Amino acid sequence: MDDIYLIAVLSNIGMISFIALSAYLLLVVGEISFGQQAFFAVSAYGSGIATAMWGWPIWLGLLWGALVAGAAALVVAIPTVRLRGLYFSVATLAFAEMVRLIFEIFTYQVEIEGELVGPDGSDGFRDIRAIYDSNVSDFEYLLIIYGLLSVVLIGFLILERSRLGAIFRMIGEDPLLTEMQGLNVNAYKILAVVMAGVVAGIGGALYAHLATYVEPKIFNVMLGVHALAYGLIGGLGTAVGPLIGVAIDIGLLESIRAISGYRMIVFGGLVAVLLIVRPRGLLDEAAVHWLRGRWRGLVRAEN
Amino acid sequence: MLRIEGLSRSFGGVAALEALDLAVADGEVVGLIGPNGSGKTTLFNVITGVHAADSGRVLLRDEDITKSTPAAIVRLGIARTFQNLRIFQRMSVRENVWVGQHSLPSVGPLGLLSNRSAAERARRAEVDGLLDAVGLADRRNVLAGSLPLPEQRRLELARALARSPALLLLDEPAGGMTPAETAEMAALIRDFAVPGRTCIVIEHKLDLISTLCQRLCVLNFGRKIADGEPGQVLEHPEVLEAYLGGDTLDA
Amino acid sequence: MVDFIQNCLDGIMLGSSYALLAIGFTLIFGVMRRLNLSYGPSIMVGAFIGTLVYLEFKANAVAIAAATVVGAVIVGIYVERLCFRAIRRGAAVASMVSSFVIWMQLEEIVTVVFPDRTYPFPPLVTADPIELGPLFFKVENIVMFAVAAAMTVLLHWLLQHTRFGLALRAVSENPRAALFMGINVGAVMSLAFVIASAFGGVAAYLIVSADGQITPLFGLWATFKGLIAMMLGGMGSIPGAILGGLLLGVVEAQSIWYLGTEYRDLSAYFLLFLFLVFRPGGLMGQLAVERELAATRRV
Repeated sequence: MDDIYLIAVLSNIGMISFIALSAYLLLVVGEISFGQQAFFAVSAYGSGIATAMWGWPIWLGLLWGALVAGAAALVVAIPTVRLRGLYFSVATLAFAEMVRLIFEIFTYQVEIEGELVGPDGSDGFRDIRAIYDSNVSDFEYLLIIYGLLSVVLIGFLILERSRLGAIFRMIGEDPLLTEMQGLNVNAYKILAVVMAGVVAGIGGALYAHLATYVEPKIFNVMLGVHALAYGLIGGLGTAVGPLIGVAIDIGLLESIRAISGYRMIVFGGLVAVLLIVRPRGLLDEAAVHWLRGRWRGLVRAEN
Repeated sequence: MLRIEGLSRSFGGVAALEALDLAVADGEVVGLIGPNGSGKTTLFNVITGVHAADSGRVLLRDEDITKSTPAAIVRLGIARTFQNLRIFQRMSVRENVWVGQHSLPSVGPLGLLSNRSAAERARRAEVDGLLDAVGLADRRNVLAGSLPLPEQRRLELARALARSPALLLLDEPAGGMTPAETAEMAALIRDFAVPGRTCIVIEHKLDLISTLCQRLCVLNFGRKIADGEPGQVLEHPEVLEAYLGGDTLDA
Repeated sequence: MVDFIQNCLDGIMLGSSYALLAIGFTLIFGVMRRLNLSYGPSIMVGAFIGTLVYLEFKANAVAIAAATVVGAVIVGIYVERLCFRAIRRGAAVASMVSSFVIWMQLEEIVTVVFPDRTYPFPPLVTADPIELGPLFFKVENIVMFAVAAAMTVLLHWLLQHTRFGLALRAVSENPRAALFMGINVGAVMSLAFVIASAFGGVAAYLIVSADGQITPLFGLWATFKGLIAMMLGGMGSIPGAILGGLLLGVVEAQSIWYLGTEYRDLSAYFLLFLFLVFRPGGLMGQLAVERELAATRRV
């Protein structure tokens, strides 16, 4: 296995992790979103436009992409916050497909150094070259991806132990009882959707700049449903869960090339069986609780 | 403290509450009894905003809360427990009480994220104090869903007290308990939950009611048929009729 | 005006295939209260089995249709066992994700067995369109429409006038109560799944034979068109599924004509989004929405 391939696979795992975390956050709040790819897409385009067309520096482009994704999430969250269950899921699906189909017809190009640059409908958006123009190597970019992923993951882990994280879990378990603790459930759900949008957005912006080319059909519903599946495979008890899901799918199965053509046949069957045994994933709440208990026990034993 | 005026609520044509009036003074402990389906839990649901009233008003310290959301009502100082137990099963016992403090004004937006501030430590110590008081101190790291029923009821009580409510609504706090457990629960409520606050208790078990309440109010078919001192109320002919006609008092 | 009417007719014809898909979807959802994302892919496998029978034995239409339906039912049973029966009630998300990974699995099995991706599928009828004044009707669409209508009548009879239908309605209303009444809930659910798969097989046969070809993408298409039609009509309502399918067809046909092909799906999703926000119960399902809402506030 050569380095270029390894870097490519690891970059891929890193970027997909963002959208998996994004879908996971909504699963924690008890909602299934088929539409996190929309925020991934909005940010990919938004940050690409900022760097390639407006000439912004890359860090500002990434920030801008995440912000635009958060704003898009707010736009979806407000009308859909009252919807529950399948109604919410299908609304997110409809929104995401609308976003994708709008990018199929969205054209906005400017001439830079004699070349037309910018999104061109279904032909996609070429030449998002910011990282190559500023001589960032693939390996350095890999570090940027994992640096940002670590920041987000640490944020999630802090969130898990905080009251806000508990509120998200409460809403996921029993919205009415949550309201009976004096909390405005709808406001917190909107907050969760926006946070999830920003997280997916970071991934989208990173993706656009690594690939240098995005087209609408990358952001189809398959991306979103995979993101959902990762959380459920790895477990809903902790943010490490979805990352395990991504690593299992892309990392493990991609590296075993012998089964490349049959990957989904094996993987699909494994996951289906896993979900029978553990309907909330490998690291579900009970498992995480048990692990924390063991950890506390170890710490106490050492002192 | 609480005043209810002409409160009505029906479900699909069946009146669960009909023109109910009830006033509860500060510091009073009122027992609410009545046969199954007489509207006791519905009354709690309407007071706490889970169900809307069809007509009538609910006033808390002269403030009209009839149309407020459940969350707003809780923040005004009403806490309740549930007849068929509602706890966050996938959270630990300690977290279940801790979450009761989330909406305290002292927590604030920053408090939602900080885990190590002095104020947060103090609040967590309060949680441990509550768990100690209800006898769950050694169970605090257990997942709440795995507790036996009497302990789940005590956990609900602790959570309801986490916000130090002014008005406490207890819906069958000893439901499904053995006589010994009931006596323990009655003592816990009397010595720990009741002092310093107003309380309404729904209960079938007369020994619990007689331990706690100075006043008894009887509902039947959504109407109040008696209200007064426990001794007098239980002699009331309509009350006897309501019970002997339907359920018997399992005292 | 003639354009508009012709578009409506085209839309209704197109919509009858959506309605066919939505009926099976609704039946499963109505009973299980869980989403089966594998619905489209399993009838897609059925259609591939039909195509196999056609290519290997040069079979006639009846044999191909039978193979499609049997294939869809067998795969349907596989999905039901693995993704629904084996996963306990209450874990609806797990069922849904499980049905998704099985979708991926089915799609890959099909691409391994049928590596050319696109395969011919024999048409059921090869008649010219019927002209009626300025309007055109395609015969295969009329057949679809008629079959959708017949299925509705059959389902109505099955649900309202048979003992099985009574049990099915009881299970979909309240599975626990049904269990206490001595109904074998598991068996009823399995049978509902089988019926839905059989209907799906018929739908797949008609749609694919009208297209003249089959690709693995049919699975995705069928799942999402069926899902949208079901949601537009109102979840759990069979007449709603039909109306939803027709509405979807008409809206698509009108957008193709007045806005252009690229707006076809965009307008469909836009309509769906509006419905969900302002009228989540769709055309016929408002009652179900209110009942569900009441259930979330049961204390």
